Amino acid sequence: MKKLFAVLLVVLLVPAFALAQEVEPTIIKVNDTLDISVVLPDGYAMTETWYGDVLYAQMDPQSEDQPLMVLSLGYSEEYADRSIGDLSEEEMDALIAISITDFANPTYDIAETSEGTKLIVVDENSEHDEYAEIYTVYQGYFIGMLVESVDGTQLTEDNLNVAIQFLSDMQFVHAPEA
Amino acid sequence: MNKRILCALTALVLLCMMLPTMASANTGSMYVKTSNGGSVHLRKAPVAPANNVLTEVPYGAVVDILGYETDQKWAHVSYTSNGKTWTGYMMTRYLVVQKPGPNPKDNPTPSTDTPKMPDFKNFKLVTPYEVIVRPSKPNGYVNFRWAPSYDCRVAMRCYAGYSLTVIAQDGTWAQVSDPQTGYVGFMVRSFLTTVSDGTSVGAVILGD
Repeated sequence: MKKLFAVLLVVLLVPAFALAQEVEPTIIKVNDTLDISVVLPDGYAMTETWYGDVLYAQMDPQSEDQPLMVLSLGYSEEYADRSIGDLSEEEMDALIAISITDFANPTYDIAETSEGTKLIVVDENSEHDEYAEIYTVYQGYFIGMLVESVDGTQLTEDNLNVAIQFLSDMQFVHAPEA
Repeated sequence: MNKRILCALTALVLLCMMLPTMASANTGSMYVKTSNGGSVHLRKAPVAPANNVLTEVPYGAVVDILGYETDQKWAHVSYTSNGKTWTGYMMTRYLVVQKPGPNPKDNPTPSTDTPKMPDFKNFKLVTPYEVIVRPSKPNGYVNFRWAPSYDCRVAMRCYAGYSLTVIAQDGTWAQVSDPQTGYVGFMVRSFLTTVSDGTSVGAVILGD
């Protein structure tokens, strides 16, 4: 009987522990009409800063083998109310051209979030700098994510996947219309 | 009689002294500049996104600045096109003092700079002037490098609105001095814009 009770206790407690460790999303207020919900990856601390009406959320890693990440998000009149999937081929070419400016030797690739939102992933291939940037447009907001190696080593695919997963998990929460 | 002449002269002198003050209250004209060559919304109120668009103002158009909101994010402007004038609000980050270059829509082909050694031979000293950082992307930063070449390491990154002083330049690069850190480095000139009243906002450096 005691053994049965012990087994039952374990069966009931294990799911409870699993739920307790599920990461709670962080809510960030962007403006009066929009919040964003983000899931901070393990081993990161986030600080928010505002420059004008643009949010910069810096995610500092606790260990040097993880990259620094900086999310920037601001409403863009250039893409008002549109997402990257709404852009014409010419507009997409222009967005890619803008995305690769100020790089020494960029290469870019197109990735997707789990919802199918396209991401422009630009990798710096210079001799001196090791970073990548990810860009997209979503509901009129221009979103950028800087991913930079802290210890100077080359960024791995896993490093970029952490950033892509962060963007995939990010949710827009619109305030109800008055 | 002498008293009347004296009063008139005094009034005239006072009026002349007021004129510069009255003139400086007019903040002048600025150009619309977007990263993708698209137009910018002129809005009824300084709120976006919102269903309050008055009209669209195209890339390169001139608007007259009537004032700025307290937080400097918005400017109160007037825009005239085809004999009609609109008065409304526009985001300040799409306004520049200098006339922008050709519309990026006319040059859609992406181009990349191949790394080159720094070239100082065409650099000339200038009377120092203040600029603010204006990234090509709607939100982002500009790389501050130790030498005028993309092949040179990024020393720090400056966000939109960060204030710098240009001390020398050639056709592409500007040698800039950062009053906050004391650093001297180089930035691509097309990412810098001349300061005008009310458009400079704070920014902070990223990186060591």
